[in-house]
Amino acid sequence: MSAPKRHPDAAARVYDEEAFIVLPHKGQYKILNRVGTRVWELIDGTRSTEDIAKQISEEYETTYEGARKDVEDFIRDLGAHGMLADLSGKVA
Amino acid sequence: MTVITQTSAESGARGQDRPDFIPDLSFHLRRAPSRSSASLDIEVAGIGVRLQGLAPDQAAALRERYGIFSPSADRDADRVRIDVAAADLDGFLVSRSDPVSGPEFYRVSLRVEGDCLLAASYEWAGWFDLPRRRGGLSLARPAGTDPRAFDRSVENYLRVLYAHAFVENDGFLLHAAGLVRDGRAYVFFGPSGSGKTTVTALTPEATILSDDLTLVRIAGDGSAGACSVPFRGVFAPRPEVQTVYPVAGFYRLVQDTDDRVVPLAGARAVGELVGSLPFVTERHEVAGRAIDTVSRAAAATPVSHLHFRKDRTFWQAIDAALERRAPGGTS
Repeated sequence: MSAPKRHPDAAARVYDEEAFIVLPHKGQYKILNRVGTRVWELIDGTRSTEDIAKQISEEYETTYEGARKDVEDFIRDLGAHGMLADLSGKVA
Repeated sequence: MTVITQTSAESGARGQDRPDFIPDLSFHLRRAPSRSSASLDIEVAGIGVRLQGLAPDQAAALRERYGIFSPSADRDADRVRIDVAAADLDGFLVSRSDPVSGPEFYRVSLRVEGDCLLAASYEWAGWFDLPRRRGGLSLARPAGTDPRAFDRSVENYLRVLYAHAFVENDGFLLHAAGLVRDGRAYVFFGPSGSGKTTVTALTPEATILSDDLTLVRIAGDGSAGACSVPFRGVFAPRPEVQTVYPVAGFYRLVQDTDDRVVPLAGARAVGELVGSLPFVTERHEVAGRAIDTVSRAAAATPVSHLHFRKDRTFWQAIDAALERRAPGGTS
């Protein structure tokens, strides 16, 4: 199981359950909603996508299957925006 | 998030058929010192820089340009000492302008080595180590021989240096027009083309801090003040005072068909401001501190989208929004 990891150069802060993330090398930023912010917090390089989905399904009282699809899509989106490092430590 | 000061059409590096040359710190440290001995002191918001190794005519031209920001030389003053010298090169970065895509936005490459920040653009490359109060600026041939190229090279290097120095000193440089009415500063920000020069031109009664870059300083209680910097756009007169004015509000400009003030909060307020910080969000080593400083400003001072038409009626929307926020105001 893969364990996504935040990009080491992404500067992030959370305000009222919304994460604000700057990806410095691109000069871009992104604001995450409440659930996205929680997923971002859970991305620590040790939890797998499945672990994160399980946690989200428990915290937000939704089905594991639904949470897993949403988390996978969201993590794919974060990777596409360069906000994650890949498993070898390279920028995704 | 890079400030555009001029297109590369003004740059001497246009059309060169070579890759970018982005020097590392050893390049700067190996460079032969200048044989010229003139120097110039610059001080902005209490942060002093001494450019040394200048020719006398270069120092005189810069002293004229920086006006009140160029105090009398004080040998004992605590200043960041910058060694300026010529580099035996045609340029550093190469313009990527072409007939199809048009002129390139002014590019500045930034990277960090230890405590040193290295910056390079078309005609200049430099470094600085703010904790150790030292740095260097290498000028390629065009900047060494053409007074205009020299002038813009020094200015763009100083913009990068001061943008970082302010973040280390409870402030930030914002890509913004700063206008003072009735003793309070109204800070209009956004990228090039968003309308900073337009709102400046539509407010002739205001004291203009800048129509391009405004310094925001955060006091101990979190309140924000705005003041001029020596880096001007096309409209602002040369500053005559370094007065800090309390900020009434920060307004992200949105050109529209009506006038509206839409308050922002939390991540959205911080995000809009951070999106208009030049240079300091490019490197994660600096970005976190910049975000925290901006957060303090956004927590204490209203941040809004200002939808505006190209006439001065937007001031009515601003005044009404501030009145609603005032104690006893209607929401």
